[in-house]
Amino acid sequence: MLLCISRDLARANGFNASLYEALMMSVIGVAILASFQSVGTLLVFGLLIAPPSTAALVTRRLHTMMFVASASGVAATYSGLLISYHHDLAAGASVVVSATAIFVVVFVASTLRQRRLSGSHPAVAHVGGHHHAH
Amino acid sequence: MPTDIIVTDNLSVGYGSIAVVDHLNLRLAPGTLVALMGSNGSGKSTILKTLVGLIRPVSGLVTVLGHAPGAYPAQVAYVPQHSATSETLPLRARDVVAMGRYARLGLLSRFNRHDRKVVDDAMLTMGVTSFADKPLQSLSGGQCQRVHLAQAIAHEADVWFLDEPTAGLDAEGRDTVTACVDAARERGACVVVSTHDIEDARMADVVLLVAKEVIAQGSPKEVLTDANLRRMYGFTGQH
Repeated sequence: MLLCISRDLARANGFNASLYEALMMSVIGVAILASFQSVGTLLVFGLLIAPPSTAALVTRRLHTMMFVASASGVAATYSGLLISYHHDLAAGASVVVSATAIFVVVFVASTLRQRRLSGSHPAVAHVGGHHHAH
Repeated sequence: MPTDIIVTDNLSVGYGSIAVVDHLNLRLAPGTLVALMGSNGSGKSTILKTLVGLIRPVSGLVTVLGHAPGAYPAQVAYVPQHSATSETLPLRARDVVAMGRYARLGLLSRFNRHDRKVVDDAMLTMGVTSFADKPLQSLSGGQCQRVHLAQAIAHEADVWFLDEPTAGLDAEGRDTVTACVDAARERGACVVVSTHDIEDARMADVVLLVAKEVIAQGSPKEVLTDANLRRMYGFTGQH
């Protein structure tokens, strides 16, 4: 997390920034390689982006965000494979469409909730603390 | 703890073998406030980064807390310039302040009650509690700066290196920073601040006027003279 704020800050706090950057890139590389097998070379980016984007809509706590992103990814994969099996569709595309559909549903729900709250508490809605699930 | 927290002897700072500022001689006792003053590109941040241990000195000697810079990250708080930080990840202000405990905790330790209290107190001191749960990217520049300073307070460090800490702050924010720095000095911390602001520099015990070289060094009264200030800005103006 420190690395995301400032590389210098991470180093000043005694962490080997180069090592952790290399580790991060390796993890992303492994995730992409693993996803190549399941969804294909182009659709992999959809599967990498949609679940974290969904999670960012429902929480601001980083640990919760990581959990929600994982859960959303698992749900998208499972439902995508089911759709693919029952309707004889391409598995990878079905998984990414599921992930995107989850994002769209959560986005619409989040926007509606935001509007409803801004209608009842305009001042609170204005400062942006309204769609955070506590 | 050594008598002098920061000692430099004929120190040259810069990048690789290219010196940016030469002949830096400092002996800073606990509780000292040092202001590095100079215009943009004068070498203030390079001096700070060298003292933090982020870049190697070109030549000369430097010790912080009796050892090479960077040896004790838990005892050294560093606030980089706001422009050098990123708010891409949707982190809450509270998460960023909590990072001030990371150097003490390391990778494996978890936050305990004391750590959480230190973080809460730091947020209260810098007046960021009201937006603690907001993402950093939604805050103004001044609010972000307060969050980063709260992180430095949460560090509970013996040495503070603040790179233009009052940039972007309103009058109340500047007063808060001054109060925090005074509180840190009272408990024996040595604080090194880079600034463009002559009023900030007047509050320091030691002022260094920097413009690719040390133009003057000493008490604010000795250093902040018209002649020295003209020389400082005139030097940069030639480039």
